[in-house]
Amino acid sequence: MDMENRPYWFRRLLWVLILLGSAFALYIVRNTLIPLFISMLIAYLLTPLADYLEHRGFGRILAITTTFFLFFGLIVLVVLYLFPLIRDQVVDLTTALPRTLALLNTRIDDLQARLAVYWPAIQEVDVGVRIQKAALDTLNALPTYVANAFSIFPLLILVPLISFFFLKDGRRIKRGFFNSVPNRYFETVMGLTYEVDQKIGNYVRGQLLRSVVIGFLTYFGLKICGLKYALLLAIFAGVMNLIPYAGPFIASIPAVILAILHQSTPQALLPFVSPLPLVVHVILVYLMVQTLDAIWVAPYILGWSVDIHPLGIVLVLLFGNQLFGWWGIILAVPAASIIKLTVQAVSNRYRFYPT
Amino acid sequence: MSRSEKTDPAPSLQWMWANIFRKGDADQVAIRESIEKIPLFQDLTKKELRRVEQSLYLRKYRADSFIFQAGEPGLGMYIIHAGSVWIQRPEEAVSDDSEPFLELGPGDFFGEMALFEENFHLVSARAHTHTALLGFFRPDLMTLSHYYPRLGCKLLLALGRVISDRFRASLTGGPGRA
Repeated sequence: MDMENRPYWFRRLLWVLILLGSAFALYIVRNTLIPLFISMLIAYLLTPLADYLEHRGFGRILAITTTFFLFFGLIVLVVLYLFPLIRDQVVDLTTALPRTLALLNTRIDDLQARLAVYWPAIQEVDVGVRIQKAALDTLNALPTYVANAFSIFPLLILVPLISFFFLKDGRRIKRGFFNSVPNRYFETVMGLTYEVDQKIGNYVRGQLLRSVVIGFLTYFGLKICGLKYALLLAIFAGVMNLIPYAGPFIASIPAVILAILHQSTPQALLPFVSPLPLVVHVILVYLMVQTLDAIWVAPYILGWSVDIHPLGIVLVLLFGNQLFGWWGIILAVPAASIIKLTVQAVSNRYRFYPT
Repeated sequence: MSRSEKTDPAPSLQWMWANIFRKGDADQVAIRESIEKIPLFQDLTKKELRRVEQSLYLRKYRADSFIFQAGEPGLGMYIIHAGSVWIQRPEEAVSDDSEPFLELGPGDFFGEMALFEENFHLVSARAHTHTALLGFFRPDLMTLSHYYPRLGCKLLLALGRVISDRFRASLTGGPGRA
């Protein structure tokens, strides 16, 4: 009954077994973890507003309901507003694709012909046809791919539901948890929970704000350049920014390709002012957005950073992809940062102990 | 920290059963009565008292168990709801039977310095008998003073008064508390 009297190795072994067991249990239910995790992020995002309203004299329930409907109402409005635009851009992109590909093909043939002067063997490779085939295959698979990978409909129901209850009962859940902690660990656990809570909250709110800022900056930059599909590309950039290092780079690839293939729209002002080709403008936009992010947005919003080694990030992304697919890639680094914050806080606190 | 049970198990069992079947509301009433008498919360209005009360944690300790030990990081203060607590200096805590540096009873509180600074406990606190404590911790003090600055001011002033009283007492060599 008294754990203190058991031998040291026994306690160690027990902990290891408990950890392994929990990891395995989590692995089995991993498909449920995504909506749970997203709901948790939303709860972190909304808690300050709900608390503020509550302390302004709203009742707890009224404060939460208000916050909740404001948030999801805003999302619905944004989606309703953006959806036609996005749909138009997607349709436009799809119908324009054969022409775009043909254009790409002639460019590649051109390049091949020029290179063949120095390296005749290159004439044999059918680069254009291969690219065309790959692009068309990807495009044809896109609808099912998106539907499968993001399986959005269960999320649409689960996420609001779970986040509502997190928001409503989070405090009670926490209190119940504290009450169940043995006296010996009580203060430690409570201090830790508070610390981790604060840090995760700041991180989540910071990252989201950052993505939004990046999206806006990219949108206006591309609009000024006169690149088509600015909205799609900006949303993509905002989401991709959650992935460190590779994200911004990946975000810029489609924009650069589109810029190479398309002339700017006639109503854009910049091309008449500057003699540089569109692609240079687009690259400059992405570079400027990244610079602004590095010197202004990230330090200001995040304040402190969760440093994960680049190799660690690559591994985390791979694990995320393997376990959770696309969601895994997008949410891997936030999840890993949260885990790292927790571990840091725990080890910091344990360093205090004399034993 | 392992410590053999000195008291025989029967009273502790009774105490546990008595508490399991106690209603939450009864606890709440008892807590309210308990904190209304504490000088620290004297200046608070009824409404403010209720807010403080909601951020308190009721913790129960068996006789002879540690509440905290010297060297552990401190997070807040404890108000004695029932029972008695021995405060021991680290060198005293080595042997069980040594006289305590201080013995505290219901209505007393200790650990209030931890509300201000994240630092080690300088002394150990041990439940002398079965003891129920009301914990009041830094995160909750911060939250309270963030959302209710007026309440925060009152609490901080009262805490400052308590600490300066104790400091004065320690300088003049008098007893540490009223």
